[in-house]
Amino acid sequence: MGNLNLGLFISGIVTIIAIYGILALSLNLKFGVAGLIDLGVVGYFAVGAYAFVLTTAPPPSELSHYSIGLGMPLWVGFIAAPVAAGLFSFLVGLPALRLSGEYLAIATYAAAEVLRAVFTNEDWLTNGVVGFNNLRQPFRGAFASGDVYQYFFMALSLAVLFILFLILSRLHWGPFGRALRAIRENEQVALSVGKNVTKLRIKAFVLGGAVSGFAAALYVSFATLIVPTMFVSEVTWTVWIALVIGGTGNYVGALVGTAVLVTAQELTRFFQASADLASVLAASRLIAMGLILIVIIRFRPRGILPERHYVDTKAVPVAESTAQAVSPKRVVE
Amino acid sequence: MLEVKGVTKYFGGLCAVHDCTLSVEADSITGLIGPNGAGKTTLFNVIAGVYPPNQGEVWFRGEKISDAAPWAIAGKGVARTFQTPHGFPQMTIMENLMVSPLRQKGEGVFRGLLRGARVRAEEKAHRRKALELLDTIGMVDRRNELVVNLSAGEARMVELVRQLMLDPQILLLDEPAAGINPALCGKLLDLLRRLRHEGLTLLVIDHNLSFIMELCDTIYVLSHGEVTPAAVSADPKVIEAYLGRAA
Repeated sequence: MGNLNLGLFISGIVTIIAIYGILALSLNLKFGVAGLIDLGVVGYFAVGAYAFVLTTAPPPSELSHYSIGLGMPLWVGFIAAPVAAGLFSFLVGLPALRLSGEYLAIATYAAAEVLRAVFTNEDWLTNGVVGFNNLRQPFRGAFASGDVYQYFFMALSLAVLFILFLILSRLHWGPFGRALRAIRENEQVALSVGKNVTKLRIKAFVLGGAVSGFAAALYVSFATLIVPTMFVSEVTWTVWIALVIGGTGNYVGALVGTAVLVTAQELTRFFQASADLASVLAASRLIAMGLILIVIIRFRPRGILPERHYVDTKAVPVAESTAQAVSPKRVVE
Repeated sequence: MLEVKGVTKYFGGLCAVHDCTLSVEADSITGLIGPNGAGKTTLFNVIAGVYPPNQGEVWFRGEKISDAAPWAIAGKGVARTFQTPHGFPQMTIMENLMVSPLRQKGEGVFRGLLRGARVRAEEKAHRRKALELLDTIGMVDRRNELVVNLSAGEARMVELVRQLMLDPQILLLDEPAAGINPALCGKLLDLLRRLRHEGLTLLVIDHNLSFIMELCDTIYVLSHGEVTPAAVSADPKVIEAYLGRAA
């Protein structure tokens, strides 16, 4: 139990925070910004994960049940995962986004649950409950030591998270994010200013799905295995709670919420416990999640970092010829 | 310019608008008055595409628009304001205006991300226009305030200029003077007249008869879902005959 173990423990937590953080960014785009109640977070994640595995797994041997394993390089998997997750989002979104509010919530939740049943039962595609294991990891060969590799993987996950964060933030403060927020705020008024609400929602939905595909590729690479039970609805709830804790509509908040929640959960692993106590500790993780949620909703209902508003600080040009200039004073900020 | 032809709209068994026919001439200000529940706002919603009519058609500039989606109708140059001017409450006044212009190139994911020269130029032009419009209602300094924090009268003015950001050819105003104090009301009249001189056609709903009569060239009366009489000219004698003397 030296320092290195503690280091590895922390790097593991940070990696999980990064992966769940990507999912929280994705949900923030869909719910926090565009106002879409999506309870199918784990569905797009699962599609991305299986797309990654099926493109990169070795071709099946005579003993295996699955029939697709393209054995392609890992970078292909890192492209296939977001593409497949985005495509699946599109298929779900096309009919579901005609629905709104709670109907959308039910439709997306159902889609994710059906998908898990499919992945559990269609052996030819997913190898069923056995799944795949001993998956390859990106750049693993470049590292002699598994410990050092874990730090590298943490850095890789954080880098992917950071790039996606930059992309989504940039979109948020531009015309695209503005239009999405307008739709969230008032659909009728958005229609009255000529916004094709359904089309913009589908764009947000597909983009969000694609983002969660990156999380999926990292997740299965980190775990080096994939089984259908990794994609239960708890994943969806965890991401939702993280977003609500952190602050809906705020991408930094989404990440802070994820960090708080995952840390609180993983710390319970830190205690060495007897077998009896272990099950108690497992339950305590759920209790911790619930407690944090209650405290936040009671004392900071808009989250740790509430949504920020665009502030126009650029100089106001001096009136050229506006005959009816009525403002008595001008503040140039 | 805008032709409403025999429009009928039912909500279940309730007939909100019955066989309504009216026309709005280009460059005119047309008024639509009637008691509460007469179907004025329903007629607006039919024109704007929010509700499809059960019978009848709406034509705009020789094109049938009564089967188009609301966003597409707005895209053709038919803008409308809402009776309750909520706008986009948790966005600033400036953003409420900036979101408005039609067919913004930056609303695409890739162009919005790259924000090339064209998107930047477009944003700059929209901002300039927004500042000009805010200037006419004296709210430039308050552009960073959230719309939810505005008074009813202020929200109504923001509602109006937000829809002007669309560069519409016709603007449907649903009770623009409600909740606006008399001083601001005079300014509103000036603004609407100026807009007409700049080539904007207006269709105005209001309860305030003196406001409507001072503003409008033609007035329609909607009562119990029916247009009666067809058209009242702004001739004072005719108005007196149908509506009594203006206060």
